[in-house]
Amino acid sequence: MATRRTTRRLTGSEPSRTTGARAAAIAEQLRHECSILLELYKKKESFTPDILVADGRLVSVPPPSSQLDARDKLWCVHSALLQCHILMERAIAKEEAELSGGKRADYETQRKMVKDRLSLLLINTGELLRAMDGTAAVQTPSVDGLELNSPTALFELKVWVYRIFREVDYWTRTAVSVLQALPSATTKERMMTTRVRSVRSTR
Amino acid sequence: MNSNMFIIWFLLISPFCLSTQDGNIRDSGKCGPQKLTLKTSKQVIQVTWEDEPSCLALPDRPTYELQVLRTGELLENAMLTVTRDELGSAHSWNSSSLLALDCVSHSVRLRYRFKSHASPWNESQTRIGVDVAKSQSFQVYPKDGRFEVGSTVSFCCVVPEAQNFSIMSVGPLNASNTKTTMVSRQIHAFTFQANSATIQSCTHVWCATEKDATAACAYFGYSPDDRDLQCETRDLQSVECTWTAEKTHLNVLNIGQKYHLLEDTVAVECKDNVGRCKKKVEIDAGERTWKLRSENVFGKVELTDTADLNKRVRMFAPEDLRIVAGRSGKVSLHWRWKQPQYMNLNIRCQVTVSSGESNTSIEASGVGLNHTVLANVTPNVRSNATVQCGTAAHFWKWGDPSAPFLLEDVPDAPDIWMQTRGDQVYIFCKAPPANPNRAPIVDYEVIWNATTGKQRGGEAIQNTCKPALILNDTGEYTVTLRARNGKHSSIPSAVAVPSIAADEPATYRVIGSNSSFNLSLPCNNQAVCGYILDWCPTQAECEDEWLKVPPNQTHATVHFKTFDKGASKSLSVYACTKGAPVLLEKRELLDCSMSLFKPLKLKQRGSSVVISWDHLNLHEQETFIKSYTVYYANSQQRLNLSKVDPMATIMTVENLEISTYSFTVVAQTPLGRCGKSSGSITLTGEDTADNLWLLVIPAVFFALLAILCCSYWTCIKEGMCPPIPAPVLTDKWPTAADCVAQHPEDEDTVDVSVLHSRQNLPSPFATNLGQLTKENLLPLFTICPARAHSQAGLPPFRGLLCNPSYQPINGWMDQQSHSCPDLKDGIPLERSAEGYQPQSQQNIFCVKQMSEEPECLLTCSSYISLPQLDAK
Repeated sequence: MATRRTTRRLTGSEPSRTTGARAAAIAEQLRHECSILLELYKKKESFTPDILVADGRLVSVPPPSSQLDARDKLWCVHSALLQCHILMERAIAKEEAELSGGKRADYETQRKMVKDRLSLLLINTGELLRAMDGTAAVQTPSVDGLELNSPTALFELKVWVYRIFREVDYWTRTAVSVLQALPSATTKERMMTTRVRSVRSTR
Repeated sequence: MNSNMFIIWFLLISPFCLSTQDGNIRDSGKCGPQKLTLKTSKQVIQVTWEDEPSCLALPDRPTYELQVLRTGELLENAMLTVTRDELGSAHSWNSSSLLALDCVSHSVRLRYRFKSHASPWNESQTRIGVDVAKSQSFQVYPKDGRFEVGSTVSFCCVVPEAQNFSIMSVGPLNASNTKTTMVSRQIHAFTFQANSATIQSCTHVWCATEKDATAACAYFGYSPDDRDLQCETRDLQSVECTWTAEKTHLNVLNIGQKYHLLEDTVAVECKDNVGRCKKKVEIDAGERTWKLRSENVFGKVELTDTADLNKRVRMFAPEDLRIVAGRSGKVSLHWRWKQPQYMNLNIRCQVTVSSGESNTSIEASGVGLNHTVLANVTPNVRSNATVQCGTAAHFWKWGDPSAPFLLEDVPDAPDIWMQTRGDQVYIFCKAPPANPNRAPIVDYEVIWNATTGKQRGGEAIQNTCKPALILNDTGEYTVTLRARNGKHSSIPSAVAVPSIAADEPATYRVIGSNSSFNLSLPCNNQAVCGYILDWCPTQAECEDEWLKVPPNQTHATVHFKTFDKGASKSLSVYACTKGAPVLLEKRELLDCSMSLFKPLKLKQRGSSVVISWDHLNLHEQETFIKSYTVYYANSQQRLNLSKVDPMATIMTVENLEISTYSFTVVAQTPLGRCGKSSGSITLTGEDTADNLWLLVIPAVFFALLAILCCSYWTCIKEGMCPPIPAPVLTDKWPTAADCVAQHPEDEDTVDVSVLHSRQNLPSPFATNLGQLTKENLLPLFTICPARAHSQAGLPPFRGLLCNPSYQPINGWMDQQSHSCPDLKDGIPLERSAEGYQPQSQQNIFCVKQMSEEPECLLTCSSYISLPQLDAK
């Protein structure tokens, strides 16, 4: 996880059902838009399905473990989405500077749409976290370990941009599953917290 | 002795010579390259080196041998001779490799050669490729290469050891002569010729294995091919140069494309590479030279243009076009120049007015020209005007055309007229008819000025123009009026109000029918712009109606929607002058299309037609009838008959041809000729044939009798008239010639009630009684019977009287033609009495142009053309 919470209120207030539902809807929408963006990008760059994208992840947040409680999973997703947003801004800037030219209005519209939707999702997950924590503000996740240096060769730069979009896609899908599991998780959370405590107490 | 001396000399000299040669070779062995360095960029290896100091002492120019090796194989072998001047300085040599240097290791070695002697190879310098580095990454080289379109390029693919090479390709690009070669198991080369420029952010050169694919970006473009530099000025403050490039604009990214406009040594970078560059200059007389430098990563080009900018002015478009209607009646198109520097320029402008498919152009010129009169252009139709201008002196080319200006919004000039009613003068105008394609008239601007007296003028805006103005005194005024549609004003229409005329002109009566009046106009020299007719009911308020007639017309027809029978209108005829209109005449209009008698009936009787009509009851008859006039006509001619007694109701026209005739009966009333009734009849031959039988049967009988008589003439003569002895007395018997002279005196005057003519006389008719004089009759009685029989096809009993005393009463005249010169009885015959001349078809007519006055313009020509006597 990018950063450790310094304070945690286990007896946080019940997250707003509407905030959660709204965040889940936004994530679902983003997932759809992101898949379109990936298709447009592959078409634009003539990337065939067999093109191998290096396995190494760009987002330094590890995938949320099933062991984590709902709040931690959400925190994890929120941190990863923030990194995705930073990477995406960087990718757009590099594309504009070094890979302009040609007709690509559809692609650029979709790219902006995804970036804006991602910002909206971040605001909503942040709100949700505040609601869960019962605090007025949530600490900004750290972006330590995030590699922002882009390749110098143009083709590698294109592949790098593609990897960023795939990261956005991956974390959006993760966000969808985490957010959709959230309403029931809030009840489970208490149970799990109790269980963890009991486990700890047994140690 | 000599031979011994030569040998001794040779032995003495040769060791010295040999030692010199050995020394050179020895010295040359020390000479060689030093400080060898290798620079590589993409596919080019640049080798630089210096001479060993010992090389400078060499008597000859040193030669270096250079070898380029790729993976141990000799790729290139070159000999390079250094000149004396170059000795001591650094030397360089370029070698390009088709294979990317990243892919394959390239090494270079160098040695010095002198004649057969060669120095050892120096230590080779190697550019390590991935082949030697044993890289495990999957790559295509060169990366991000830039190549000129048309060149042949080579890429290489390094395949990881664990994978097998599959294919290399390029796209999107038009490539030809593609070829893939295997350099080693791991390295494959791909060569092709690029025939088009990169159209996306970059062109991909792909390399695929059985389970993966990668690519390198490459950029293909054109070196500058700009041409046709042309410099001009638009604002007279800067020079603007334009050029064209056929291919470089296809370079999507315009990598490194830069333009500089230079004059002398001052250069301006042209920021937006759109074939246009601008530079502030002081424009003075004389030619100057501008240079354009175009460069990109593939090359550069320089273009020049020399010109005097005073002769290269391309003007901007005129702005704010508007129509101004001058008081002189002419419409001007005005525009504005945004550039104050144009004010002192001698400008030539072309105004094009396009309406549908037709175009009209007007040219004008002047210093700071900003308007022109639209002569011969109707600004009121749906048409557009555009203006383009250039310099009048040293015309270079037309500047930008203005935005089209719609002319249709200018209203038509209204028709304006004045009427004096009592002590007031009413100014009326006729609004242009409503047209959905035109902007509606919003109001009228009226301006009046007193031309005499102490009255003052004024201005007013009126919503209506019926009336547009009422002047309460009868002084002399000039009134102008413009129709306005909220945007534009029409050309002003003007009318001058005269002071009241002292003498009323004479009034003539004009009879019309069916509310329509044909008027002849007086010829008056004052009527320079035509005539104006206006009218008022005699017993009622005047109407705001008038009619304007152009100056070249002599007649006008006024038609009223309704015209009460028996009522009259007073019509005034004014001359349109440069000043106030002048009242010329007054006319009283009367309509007498009233019922006076019953419709006429026509009936054929042989070759005659009986015309009859019935009187109305006296209480139904709208006016008193003095007499009737009967006209008839067929398709060839028109003739009138005569005046008939007012009590008569029947009349016969005889000896008509088989044709269609129309008959008209008009009653002569105190108002004029009124109550016209017409009818037509087509004559058939049936009745005529019946009559012929009556004539033919006795003729046949008499002919048979004559034949019988001739056959038995001797017998008859003998039986009936036995020979009688001749008288004893001899005397002179009268001859046929004598017979002529023996007409009795009482036949000098013969009353003829019905006149006949030969058949070829087309218009035999009955007239009122005519008189034949003796001298007219004499030849008739002598020749006619014989001639009548000699005419082919004539019945024997026709044509008794050949020349009637033909006296037309009146020509065929319109309803007002009462003043056709009277043809007195007998006068036409006396005038043409050159012996006997029977009438032909074109015998008589009287032409009078529709006129009720016998004054000028009235041409009443009447004549009688008597047919020539047949030569036979």
